Amino acid sequence: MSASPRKGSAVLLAVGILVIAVGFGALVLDLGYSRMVDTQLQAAADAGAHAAVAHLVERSRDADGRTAADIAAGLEMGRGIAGENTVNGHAAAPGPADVESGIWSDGVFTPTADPLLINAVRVRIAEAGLMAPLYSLFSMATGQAGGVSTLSEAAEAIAVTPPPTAAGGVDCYLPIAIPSCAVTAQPGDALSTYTFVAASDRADTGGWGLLGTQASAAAVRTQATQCEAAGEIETGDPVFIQNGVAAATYGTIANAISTSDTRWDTAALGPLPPQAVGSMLSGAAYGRTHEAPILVFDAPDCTNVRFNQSYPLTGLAWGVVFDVAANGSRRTIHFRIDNTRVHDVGTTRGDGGSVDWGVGFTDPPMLVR
Amino acid sequence: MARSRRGGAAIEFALTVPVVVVLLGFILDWGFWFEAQSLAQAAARDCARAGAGAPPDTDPVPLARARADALLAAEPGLVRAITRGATPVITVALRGAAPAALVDCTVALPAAPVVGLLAGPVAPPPDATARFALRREVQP
Repeated sequence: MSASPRKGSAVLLAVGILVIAVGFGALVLDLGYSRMVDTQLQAAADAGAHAAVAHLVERSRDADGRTAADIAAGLEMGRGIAGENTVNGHAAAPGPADVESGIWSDGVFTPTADPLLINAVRVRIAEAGLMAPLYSLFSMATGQAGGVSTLSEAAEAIAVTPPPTAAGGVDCYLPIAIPSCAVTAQPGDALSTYTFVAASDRADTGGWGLLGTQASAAAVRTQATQCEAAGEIETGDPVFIQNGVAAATYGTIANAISTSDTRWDTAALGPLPPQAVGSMLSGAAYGRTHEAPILVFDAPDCTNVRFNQSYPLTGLAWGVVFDVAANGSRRTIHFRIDNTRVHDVGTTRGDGGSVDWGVGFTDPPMLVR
Repeated sequence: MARSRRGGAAIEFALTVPVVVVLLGFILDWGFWFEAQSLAQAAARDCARAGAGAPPDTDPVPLARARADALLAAEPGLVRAITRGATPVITVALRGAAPAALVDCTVALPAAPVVGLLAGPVAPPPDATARFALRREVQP
């Protein structure tokens, strides 16, 4: 055997090893780079879809419902928030057609613009022109695209608004039920004062309410007195409404206020309203509060709540009851609703298992893809 | 004749080894950098999600920062290998106003090269930085 073939084979071997090594190096860059851009695209798409749906959820809580303009604003919000994220060194830029509203059902997204049907938003973002060495080498070898080629990546995110589900576990609630439309009509989203009126002239603004059982006088009074546990409840659970059956319960609640350890928190609740005419509380007791969840139900006609029947529960409001009054045949219970206050009961939400009280509480937007 | 062959092989070896070493360094350095980038992206993502979902009466900034810290703390070996003891920088900013108030998290991991033979444009950046901005679920 001569020396020449051996030398040639060594050179071939060295070249072969180098090509393989260069190939691996290029592979590292290609995979790493495309994966990095893909992750950034996904993050931007997620942020956009999440923001758009969160906006739609807020609008659906408006008293006048959700309109086509709200949908358009939500989609624009999604584009804007996606654009706050960086992809491949520049702001993500989904086009108007890349952010769509639609219906998410059985794992399928169907685009629609109907404000009443929309429960999801889809965001698609693509990034073209990624220079990937191995892909370019391969293109050169195969003669594609003039020898130098680029990759493109795309990401898709779908966020949905889950329907209100678990209202939470309730240790105790007041047997007071108010219609959700009355709550949303209150000025301000976070804090509203509500006067529960029971009157013979049928100008009632709410009713005695019990979950899952008829609101008889005895049951209502027992609930107000003992504040029995209700356990896990969900939106849609029946709230039985009654009026006038539990006149003595006003006294029970007034007594609960008078003997309560909690006092009106001006910093959290604003100034204490003036004591009502006919207040059952003594001057010394006024300023104490009885705090507990209050039932919120969905009535088709807010101005004409019918009693002796049940309505679906839509949520819970944290009620700070501060006054009870009897004025002629009218009985009133005055409470401040704090929609944002965090308590030890309610739907688990947020970080670390904290909880959030709210009226018509809806879970946060959920990314399903 | 044999000495000449041995010399030739040595020269070929001497020429090939540095190239192979540099290539291996390239692979290792970039591989680590992409791993660092991926970790930074995950931390920024967790950070923003925690901040965006903060309950209404909670300051989202410490919550978001704590989540990013927790994610990095869960990977002590990887973080140490990437940063070589340098401290990751987590920046949480609340930007914008309702209805588009954001939690904006940036996580920068100092990513010292493992081999460090590369320089200039072929060398990976000195740190891996990722950002994630998410709309706050409860608008202030």
